[in-house]
Amino acid sequence: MPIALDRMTKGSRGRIVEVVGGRGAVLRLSAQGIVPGATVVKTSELRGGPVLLRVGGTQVAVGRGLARHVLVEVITA
Amino acid sequence: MKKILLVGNPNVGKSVLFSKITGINVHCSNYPGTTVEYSCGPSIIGTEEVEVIDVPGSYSLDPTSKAEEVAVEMLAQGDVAINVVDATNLERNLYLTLQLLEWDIPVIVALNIWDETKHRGIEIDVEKLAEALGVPVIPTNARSGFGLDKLVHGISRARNLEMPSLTAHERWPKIGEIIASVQRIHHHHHTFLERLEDVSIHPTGGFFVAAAVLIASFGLVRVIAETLIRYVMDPLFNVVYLPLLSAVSRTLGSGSLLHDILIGKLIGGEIDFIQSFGLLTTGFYVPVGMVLPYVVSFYFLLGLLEDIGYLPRLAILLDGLMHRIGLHGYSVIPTLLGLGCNVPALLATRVLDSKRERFIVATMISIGVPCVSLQAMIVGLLGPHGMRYVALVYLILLLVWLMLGFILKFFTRGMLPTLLMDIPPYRLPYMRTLLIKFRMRTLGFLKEALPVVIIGVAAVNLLYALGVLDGLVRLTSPVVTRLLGLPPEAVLAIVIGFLRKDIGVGMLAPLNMTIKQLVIGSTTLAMFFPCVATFVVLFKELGTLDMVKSIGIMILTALAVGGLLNLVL
Repeated sequence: MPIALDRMTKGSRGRIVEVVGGRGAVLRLSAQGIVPGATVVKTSELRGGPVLLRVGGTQVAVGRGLARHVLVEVITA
Repeated sequence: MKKILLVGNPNVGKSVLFSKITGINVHCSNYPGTTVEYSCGPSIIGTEEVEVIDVPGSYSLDPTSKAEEVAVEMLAQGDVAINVVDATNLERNLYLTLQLLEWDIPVIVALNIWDETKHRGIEIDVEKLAEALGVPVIPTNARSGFGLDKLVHGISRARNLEMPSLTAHERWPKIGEIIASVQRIHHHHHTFLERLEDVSIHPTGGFFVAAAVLIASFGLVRVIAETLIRYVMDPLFNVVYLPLLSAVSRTLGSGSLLHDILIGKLIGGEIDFIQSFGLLTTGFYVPVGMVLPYVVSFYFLLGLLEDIGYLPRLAILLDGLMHRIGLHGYSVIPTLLGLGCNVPALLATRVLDSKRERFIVATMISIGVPCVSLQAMIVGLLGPHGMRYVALVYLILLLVWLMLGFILKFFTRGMLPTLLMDIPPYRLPYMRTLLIKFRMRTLGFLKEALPVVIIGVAAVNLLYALGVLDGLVRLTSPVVTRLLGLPPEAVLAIVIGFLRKDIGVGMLAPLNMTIKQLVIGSTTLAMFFPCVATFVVLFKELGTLDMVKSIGIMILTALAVGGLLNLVL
């Protein structure tokens, strides 16, 4: 059952299944490597603030609002 | 002239590479502090003169921001693209590389920050990478100069592949394949900088780091500035400049029109740099003797924080808080810049992509963020009465800033995009680019401030001589005296505040005001109206309608807050 990025637990790894959102959001996310099929690790999150991910060897901060639009399938919790 | 473009993600060492291949003669740099502006400079490759352009850093060529739009436009005009790639971050950087290969332009790849790969346990097979991409790949280390000769000589071998266009869904898997075949990552122990990176965005530890960094920075700005004033500026002005001016003053004779304009009034028979208000006295002393030291130290510290890579972390850390006042974390950067000068701060709001957020941030900066010139004068004016009064002014401005955020959030419409950024690694700052930036900003301040101050002081002296200002004082004195509780002459300070806030605050000095009046006067002046340079930028950046709205908000806020302070204090 896919969940949104902001619901992932810290330290878990997942595969992105879908990015829900407008063209602009999809393009911005894909330039950061956040596309369906990519594997991400949620490294941390700031309360009310961005979710921090490791994707393709880089740390990326994804604002709360955007994080809700990215659906992942958790691989390891 | 052939145009050579440096194209790459943000934070890959493009500017260092740029400064290395162009030398110091960078001629068309725009105002610093913005990402949309770019630098270009001449260089000689082989025997050919070329123009090198440092294209704004972008992640992709599907423009999703102003900076990327500019990058795409520049690409259409270039002859060769040097794709600067961060070797420690190959996977993400290759996205732009693949897009670049789809364009009709010859490409060569500079695999920059090459020496870091060893420390980070990364092994890259350069030949295989070049083969996979189909264009030359040169490992470089811009700071040390490693590989730059080879890169420059390789430009003629850059290849235009014009690959068929892929979608993002096709590009990333392809990158995955390339990475799997050319890169190997070994386990390595975290370096000291990497540990520091983790701490500074830690959900709790990060705030302690932020507080420490900000307090230390502002403390240092003051220490450096005050040292400069005490040991350089004051001796220069008092020992060297003053005797010269006194001679001029005696020659002209006090009371003549020329004396009034150049030297101003003598205070107790002596020239007073702050109060005399002549072109050569106050007009020169305030911007150079009092404000420049703060400008210099502020820009030095800001450049340092920028080049280390701290600012994006601050943006990430404060994103949650900023959301409560309708902004996102990026707005921290223009706001911080505003503490130096509101002009580059407003230009830097260009990194914010929604019109609404730009309006909010620009208005909040113009009202609640005092520039370093203004701060220098507030410290100079209120400091002798006790630092608690200076702190009070800062506190009031901070509260106003926060409340404006809440209010504007409710009364404006439009989209607020959310934060999305990669977190660059910490890097030790590179002195050369730091100094180039520092020099540009300092000269920018002098070029912008000196003429305005001098023209302003001249205009005031002239208007004063013509009796125009007396009329203005009479006309506005009810508002100023009843609502704000200030002496009628404070109107002059507010009017001059339009030209330069620092001079305006300085004009409050000779009015013999109480400390309450000084607090109200300097707070009101800070909020009331932007200085003329800020005004022009506000107009250019927001357009007429939003500018008028913004200024309306400023005047209302200043009168409301000033009136309230008069009641409460």
